[in-house]
Amino acid sequence: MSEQDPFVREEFLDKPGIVGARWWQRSLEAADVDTGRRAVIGLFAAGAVLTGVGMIAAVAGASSGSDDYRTEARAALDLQQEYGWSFGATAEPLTFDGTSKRPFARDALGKLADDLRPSVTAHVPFYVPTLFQAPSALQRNAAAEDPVPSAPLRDVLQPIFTPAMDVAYRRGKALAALFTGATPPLGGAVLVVVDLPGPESIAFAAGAVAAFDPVFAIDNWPHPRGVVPAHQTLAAAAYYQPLFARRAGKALSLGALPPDPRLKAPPGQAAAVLPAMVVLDRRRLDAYTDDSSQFDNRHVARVPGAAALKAQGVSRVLYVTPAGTDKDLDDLNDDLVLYGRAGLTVKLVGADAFGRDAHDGAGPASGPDDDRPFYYYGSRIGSSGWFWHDYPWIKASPAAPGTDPEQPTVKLAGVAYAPALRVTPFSSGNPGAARPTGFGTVPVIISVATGLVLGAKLFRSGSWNRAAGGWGG
Amino acid sequence: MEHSIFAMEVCARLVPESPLRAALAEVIQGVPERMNLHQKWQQHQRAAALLLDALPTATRGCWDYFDDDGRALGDYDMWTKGMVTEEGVRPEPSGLPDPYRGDARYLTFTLAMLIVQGSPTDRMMKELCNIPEASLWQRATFARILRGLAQVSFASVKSDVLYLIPRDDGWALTAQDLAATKFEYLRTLEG
Repeated sequence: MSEQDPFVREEFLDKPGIVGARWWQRSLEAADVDTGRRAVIGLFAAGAVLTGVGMIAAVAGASSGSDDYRTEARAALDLQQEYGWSFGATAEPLTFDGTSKRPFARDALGKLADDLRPSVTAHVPFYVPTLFQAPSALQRNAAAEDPVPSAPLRDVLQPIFTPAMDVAYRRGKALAALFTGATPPLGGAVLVVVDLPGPESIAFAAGAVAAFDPVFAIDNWPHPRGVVPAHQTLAAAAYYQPLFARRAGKALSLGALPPDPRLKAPPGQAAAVLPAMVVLDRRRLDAYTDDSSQFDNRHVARVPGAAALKAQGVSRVLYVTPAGTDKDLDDLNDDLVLYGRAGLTVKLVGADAFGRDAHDGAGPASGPDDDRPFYYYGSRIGSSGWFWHDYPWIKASPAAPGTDPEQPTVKLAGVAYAPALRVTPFSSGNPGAARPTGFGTVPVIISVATGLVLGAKLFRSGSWNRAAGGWGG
Repeated sequence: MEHSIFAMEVCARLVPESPLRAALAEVIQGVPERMNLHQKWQQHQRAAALLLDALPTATRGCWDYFDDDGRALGDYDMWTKGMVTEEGVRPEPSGLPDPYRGDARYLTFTLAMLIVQGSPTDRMMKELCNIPEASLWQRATFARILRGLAQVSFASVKSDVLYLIPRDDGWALTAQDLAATKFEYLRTLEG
């Protein structure tokens, strides 16, 4: 009997009244009499449960189960969208740091992707709502060996508000204050790219909504074993959802303002009034070393191309990193270099350039909606206007009538940044071309017979690993 | 090795000239004598797809899942007998129906699998067939199970049987045939 064709037709009937056949897979009977083998496998299976993934991997690798199964790398996001956000780890909880105690409308999570949509029509094509779609997404299918469905993400999500988010919010507000007060207004001539750790990026954008149209571009889903703690970013978005939703209504009224005559709008479209602020999660490329215990939910940044920006009248790009000493992240290098080559002015500012003035007499906040203490460029009220000296896109405005802005007493290294091509695993001078092998993928077990995904590999301690060593079905 | 059994039979109106009967026959006739696991899976997927399409016109049906070894072996034998003893087959042709008189003709398609008990596929089938009593004979339940067959790994299926009554239109079952005691196991489909 051929091992390649184990099903053999042993009865066949073909008459006018009936057509039928019966097939047998006799190799299973042969396996059945090999009780010694089964006993050993059973021992292995028990050991696997006790000793964890390393043992499981060894058993799976050594077993004859490889005739029935194969391992393949599949895109992590595709798997989550098909088999649930917690694919392979449905029983594991998410841990939220800094859970907010504020009232929270869980039902509103279903509108998250809508509430955080850009309010300027011209910015909508750059919006990547992936992360915000996760709470309301429905599991489409069940992996054969993962019968337990994922709990709906919206049921387990908790809004967070951390001290780092608080600082980031104030920094975003400080940047917005500069642009709001800019004379003449820069309008849509500027693109800001915020590249902070997810929750802080969200908070920075929330602080900046008075002057910018946030364009979120976070292209992954949370996972209990995720390399990228996307659930924290999502939880931060949930915290600020009411603010973004309110802002959407406000922006509609701004849309009725006369368009900035300097902006080039595509024919037939109204010019953008608020500049776009692309919001990224800086932890998207976090180190990933162990596919036996981690789920690779990393992703690369998606930012508008230079041609698209120029078509919308953008001529300046401000890249916001955690500190002024940071360089652009590997996956943005190509894009930023090409911005420069296309004639766009690209500058970098560290978020740490904005801080509290120790001599500010504004006093502490009186309540949750009081934004004091305020933050300033150079961490001094008097140096705030120096921002326009370092980023000379308008004539620097004085802190007070008749006074010149003060130079910050601390060196703000980001001012000296200029994009320079670097060859990295994510950049090559050709945007979108460079990706390390296996990036954003997860090993899964595929049934040889059906081609279907049976379950996630290795980081599970569930049924497949025992079955793979035992009966292979 | 202990066994579980899954079986399903669907009885549908046989409309002359409809491609359903020929397509179901092809599922059995058009495959090689020896098949690998993927070919076997494809065969069942084809059958499931045809039956899903036919469900709206199906009138009666039956399905079983048991994870008791003795019952599985006994029932698999019983389902197989339906084919090897030609139990459900008419002794003579029924002739083609008169379209003006509206006398209906029917076909039945049966599939059964002897599954390795405790295998992942067996556990999946057990879950798939965990249907509340009130829903057992609803078309939606048949549809759910037929769709779920896509998850079967034939590495865990020891034997399977497929048969169609009739092969030729002129041997189709009549309403009178189906009223016989031997077809009582076919329940009227709901919904």
